[in-house]
Amino acid sequence: MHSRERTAWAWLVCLLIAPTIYFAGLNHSDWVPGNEELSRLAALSMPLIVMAFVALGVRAFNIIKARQTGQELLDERDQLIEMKSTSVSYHVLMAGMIVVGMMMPFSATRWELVDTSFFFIVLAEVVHSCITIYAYRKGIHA
Amino acid sequence: MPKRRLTNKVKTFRFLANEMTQSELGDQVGVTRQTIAAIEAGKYSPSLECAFRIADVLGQPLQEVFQWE
Repeated sequence: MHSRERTAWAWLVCLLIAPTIYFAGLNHSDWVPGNEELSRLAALSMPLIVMAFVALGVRAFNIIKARQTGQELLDERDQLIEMKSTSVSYHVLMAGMIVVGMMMPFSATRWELVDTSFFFIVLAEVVHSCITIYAYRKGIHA
Repeated sequence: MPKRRLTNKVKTFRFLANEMTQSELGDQVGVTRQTIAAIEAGKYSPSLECAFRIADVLGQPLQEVFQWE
């Protein structure tokens, strides 16, 4: 398995677990009275910390693997896959930012803006990982 | 215009070239073994430059290695 595909799998699993727990917990959370801002910030930082550790772990694993088997070359197919997945996920992110930045400010609270922004960032990353995995598994044609 | 698929005989010519491995061909062409495997399986259409390099390494004309189905 190519290191980029392995990274995409790890990232996809992480994205489907950590933020999902955060979003599921939003409806059931009793924020500390008087300290709601701080407790919400703490709750939001949890999935971000998990995602940061997963990203570091995958990076470290890839470096160790590259030392054992030699550095993997990034060829034209890898670049095409990266270009396509980045392009689609960019459009997903832009659509989300239009919703958050142009439509929601008139009706939503600030934490709804934060959560929706976070949701669209995660969604864009999920789309990126899915396209990368699909392209490596099923193929890609320019 | 009907969509036609690009097929290839890379695997056949690789075996005719002293049973060259995917890895060896990839090294000479400048792509990874996985990319050669994807080309052989029809999962990836190489760039024109890459196709010419593959044909050159295999010692065959381009149209012998790659065809329209």
